[in-house]
Amino acid sequence: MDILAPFSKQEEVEKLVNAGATELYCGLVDANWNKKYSLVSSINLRHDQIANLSSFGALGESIESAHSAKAKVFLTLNAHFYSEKQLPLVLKQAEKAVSLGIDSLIVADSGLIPKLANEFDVEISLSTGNPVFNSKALEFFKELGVGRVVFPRHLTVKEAVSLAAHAKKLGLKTECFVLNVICPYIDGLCTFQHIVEKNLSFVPVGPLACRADFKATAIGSASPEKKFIAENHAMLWSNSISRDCGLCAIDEFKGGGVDCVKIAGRAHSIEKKLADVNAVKAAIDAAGSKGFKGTARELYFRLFHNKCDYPNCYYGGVGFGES
Amino acid sequence: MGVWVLGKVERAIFSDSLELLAAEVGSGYKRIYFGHESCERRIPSLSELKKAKKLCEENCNSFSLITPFCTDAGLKKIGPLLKGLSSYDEVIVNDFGVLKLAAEKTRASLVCGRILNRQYRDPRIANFKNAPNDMVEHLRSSAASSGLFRDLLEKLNVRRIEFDNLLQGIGTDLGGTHFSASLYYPFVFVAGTRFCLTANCSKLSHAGRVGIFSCGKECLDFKFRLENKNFGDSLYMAGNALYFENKKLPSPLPAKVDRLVFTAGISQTKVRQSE
Repeated sequence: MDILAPFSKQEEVEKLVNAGATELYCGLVDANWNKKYSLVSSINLRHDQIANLSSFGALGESIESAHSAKAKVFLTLNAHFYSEKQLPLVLKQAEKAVSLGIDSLIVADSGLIPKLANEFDVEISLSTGNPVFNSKALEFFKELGVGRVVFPRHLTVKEAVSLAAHAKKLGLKTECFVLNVICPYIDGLCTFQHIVEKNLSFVPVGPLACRADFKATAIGSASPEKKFIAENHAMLWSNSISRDCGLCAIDEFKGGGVDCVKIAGRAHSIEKKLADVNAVKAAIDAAGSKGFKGTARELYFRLFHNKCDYPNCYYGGVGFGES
Repeated sequence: MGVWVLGKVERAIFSDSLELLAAEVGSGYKRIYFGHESCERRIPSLSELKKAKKLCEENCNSFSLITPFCTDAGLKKIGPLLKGLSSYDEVIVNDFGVLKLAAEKTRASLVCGRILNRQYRDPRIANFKNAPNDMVEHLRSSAASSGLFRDLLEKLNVRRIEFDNLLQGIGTDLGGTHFSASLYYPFVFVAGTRFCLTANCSKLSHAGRVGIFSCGKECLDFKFRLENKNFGDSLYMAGNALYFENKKLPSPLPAKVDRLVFTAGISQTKVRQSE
């Protein structure tokens, strides 16, 4: 089972591979894109420069370093869509990355996928920015030229394993997220702007919408007591802290034929990135053993210094008996 | 919401409540959108579809079945409904798997729903001041702005693309194409989830639990107004989706918009129907 880890600086590559990452992914926002569209309409869903490489030179060195250690490098080109005017810049970035030896392009835009698949000899990974929830969608994207699918976070373990089995029949590789940053809303179906965290001259600073402190008022004719319970439940994500994990699901993913587990967090420190890779590697090594769930919970405690709970669980309480 | 008379613009009403549609259908609407756009648990049964189609026939209305993004469980429910549609009907798709299934199973016309046509819908975008022109133009655009996306839809025999009425303005970018456009009002879809906080919301035994669990369709009894000063007017949580209200329609309507879709009942609860 492969481990796909994030990086944002070329010097992180060797350390992550040595820790056990077999595949790495990154984004690249260069000055040309930044000038026209800024990070607000980022080329790759991450709106902070710290999460991105800033030159093709850095990308080339990263690929060289990874390949020399037999690891792969993927590039995110996964904005939910690109408009007509943006496409030439996107295609230019893809062409350059392919010429540097990139192993896969992570893409969300459905119109762009067949274009890239036809023009370049490179694997296309379907980003979670274009979520696949069913077997027909797998077939659809296979026909468009996708070779690999990143499953959305919003699947049950059972659904993910079932889709992975269908993907295998189609010759598609599959990935599931297992650490960091659960999106309360489905990535590809959420249109809130993350950029409001940043202090750009033209953008008012505000909270991440999905975890903002909303006051919920129930509408309807239910009793005051029921409304009180419902309103509090509706505010469950408000001010919640992201300590998110799906390590417990690795056992079933590995047994169910999921090819790769993915770690989110391109903007994290190298220390956090290394700790994440170590934890995922330990969970993969422990998969299939009798005390696996206990091992996974211990790994969670070491990573986040806390007990896991529902709002932090990628897969709906799989770690404490629900699936 | 008032009734507009907009020349040749077709007015449609969207709900999965037969009672609501029966009450409203005589108010000048020429088309019914029946079904749900964001939850596979709310996909209507075949008997409900037949009732909705009968309602259309009695009122000389056109019929569109609207479908959500869904898992294989949802596809199993949608399959029989697709076979129940005629070549005069439409199916609105918000999932590429559903689009593939519909292309195989139905004679109805295929429509790219508003959720499948990605747009930047965060209401706070309207507050961006003095942003670069290229960026502003992009934030008003959609997936349909790309010729590559339109080519893909055309190959799949899709001839209509649907849009939300963004606060920052919208460019359909469909001028000079063969596509028609629909514009939804007044509720703009912002985000959808399968970690539904409406599911089981009134059960104290469920407090603190979030994930993909079975539910009692609490969305029929509860909707929520969500307030936070950063978001201006309220957001609404209706089942597993978030919306905001934009009461102002653009004038003139953007290029190729020849249908307005009224999103009925987003901010209200309704009477449960027999299942």
